[in-house]
Amino acid sequence: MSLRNEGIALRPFSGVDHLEGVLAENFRVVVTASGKREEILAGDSYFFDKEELLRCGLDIELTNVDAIKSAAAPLCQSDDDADWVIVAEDGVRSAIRGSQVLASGPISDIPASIQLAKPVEANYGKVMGHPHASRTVSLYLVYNKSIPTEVSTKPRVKGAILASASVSLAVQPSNEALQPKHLTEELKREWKLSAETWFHFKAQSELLECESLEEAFKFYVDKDILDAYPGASKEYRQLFELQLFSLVITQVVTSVHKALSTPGGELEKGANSAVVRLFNSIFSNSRTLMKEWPTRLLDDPDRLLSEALAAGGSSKTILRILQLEDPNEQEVNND
Amino acid sequence: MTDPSIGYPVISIENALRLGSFYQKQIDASTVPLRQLSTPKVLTDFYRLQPMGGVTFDWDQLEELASDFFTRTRKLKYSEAQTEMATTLREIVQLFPPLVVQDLDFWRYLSLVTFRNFVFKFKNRMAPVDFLGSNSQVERARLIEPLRMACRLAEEANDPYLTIISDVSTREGLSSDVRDSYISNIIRPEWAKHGKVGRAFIDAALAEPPVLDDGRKGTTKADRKMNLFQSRVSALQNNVLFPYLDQSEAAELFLTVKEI
Repeated sequence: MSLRNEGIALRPFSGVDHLEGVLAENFRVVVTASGKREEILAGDSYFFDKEELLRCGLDIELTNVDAIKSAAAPLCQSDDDADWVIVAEDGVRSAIRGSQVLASGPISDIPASIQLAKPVEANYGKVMGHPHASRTVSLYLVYNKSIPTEVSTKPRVKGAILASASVSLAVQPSNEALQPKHLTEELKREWKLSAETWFHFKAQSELLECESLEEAFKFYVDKDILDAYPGASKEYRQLFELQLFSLVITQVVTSVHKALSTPGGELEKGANSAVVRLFNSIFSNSRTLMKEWPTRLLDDPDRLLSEALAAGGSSKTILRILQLEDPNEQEVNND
Repeated sequence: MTDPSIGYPVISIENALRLGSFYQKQIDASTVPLRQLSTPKVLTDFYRLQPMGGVTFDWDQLEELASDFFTRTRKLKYSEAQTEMATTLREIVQLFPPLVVQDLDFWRYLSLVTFRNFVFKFKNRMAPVDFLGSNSQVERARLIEPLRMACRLAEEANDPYLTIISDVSTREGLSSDVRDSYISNIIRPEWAKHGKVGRAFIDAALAEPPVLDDGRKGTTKADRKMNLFQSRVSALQNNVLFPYLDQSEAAELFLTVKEI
């Protein structure tokens, strides 16, 4: 049984767990992005490109509103005592870190489908109107009256949360992009690489546990090639990015397969693993692959590699090319 | 030449670190505390313009707000200048859409270009944490503190909620420098991001008898009464949906845990 603290006393509200379960069971968020439609369940995350996040369609669908109303009834004196409220909350990488109430109404009239954002159009508001940080979208069922009583086993405070269901709409953090490092002549000598080597990949043996991609693995590209990249034609840069993405993902798949195949090697899906986030991001447009990639990787790494490379769309977001310059060369402007 | 109105200015983390290091060298090289930092000769090497969907970025307004801020704060202490900065940032938030003001790269530009002479002055340094040199510890950046203070408390420029804790603290014979109170009770707490609950908290905290933080030498945690009250309010957020309440309803709820 859940305990709800409405102030001084801890109050057990019988029926809260049941309502929470019924809400979670009947709650879906339908995301429409890049022409695709995906359903997210309560507690799940969906990863977007920034532009997709800003222009995605979002609908909350409740598969059985009557079941939700029935489960809420024992917590209220009458059908008019509870409201539904949808709140969007900024993730940690937004500047303001605010919240936005998207919609609300009485639970007696709760609709089976609630449109929060239309596809293609830019989303609107303090939280929804930007693509710079992840956000949580939650549906709350709340008590809507204040009853002056000291003795009650039912909610008595306006705004008391009866149940909630949330999804996370996540954006790939920019500092988790894959960034090449300079493969210098000194490094080639140190690692005994041939002078012609232009790409080198080094993974940590515990790469599955690493919280950042930087810790999990590093990849190096010949310094002359990286220096020439900014001045190259757009077509060449795109081809180069794709080639680099393919090489890195091939190496990552090989390294993760090796790590999973060693005795004791296992993937903690709940852990804060950067590699898990990377694969989730690559497969963000396929619910099946997001769920099954660890099993598929173990069973058939070649096929999983093909699927990762063919996932498309994400290579540009995931890969960033370093453009290093020497800050000491700048002159001071005294104007 | 590119039309500068096609986008808003942004600085990446990498370029922010380069520019921050450029300024730090000026600070280190000076034998006396600097009054101003000079920008690099080719500032355009450090920032780029991020398109904003065809909407024009109002550079003149931004420059005007910055110029007005530096004129107003020339002789103020840091804590007073921070309140003034909150007023200025409130106006910036009203001027530009969420697409711009929620972008940390835009705040890197403001920290390192427009308001650089505010950012470095407090500790005479330009450390990465001051100008958003990483994506962690965002709330500790010099401009993010007054930005969140403004967004959580102010409905308009010069909103009385930005100074009311200081006013009451002075009246009660305590310090007028209440920057820490605003940081630990309004800017940092997760619950304060919702609607007008920050204002409601101040209403409840300052209702007679007021609870205030006494941070003077020799005082203990128990003397930070506003902060103790804040932790009780924080405990309520798991059970009551704060954004569902209006300001007076939230204040009324908070008063129920003011004295236990």
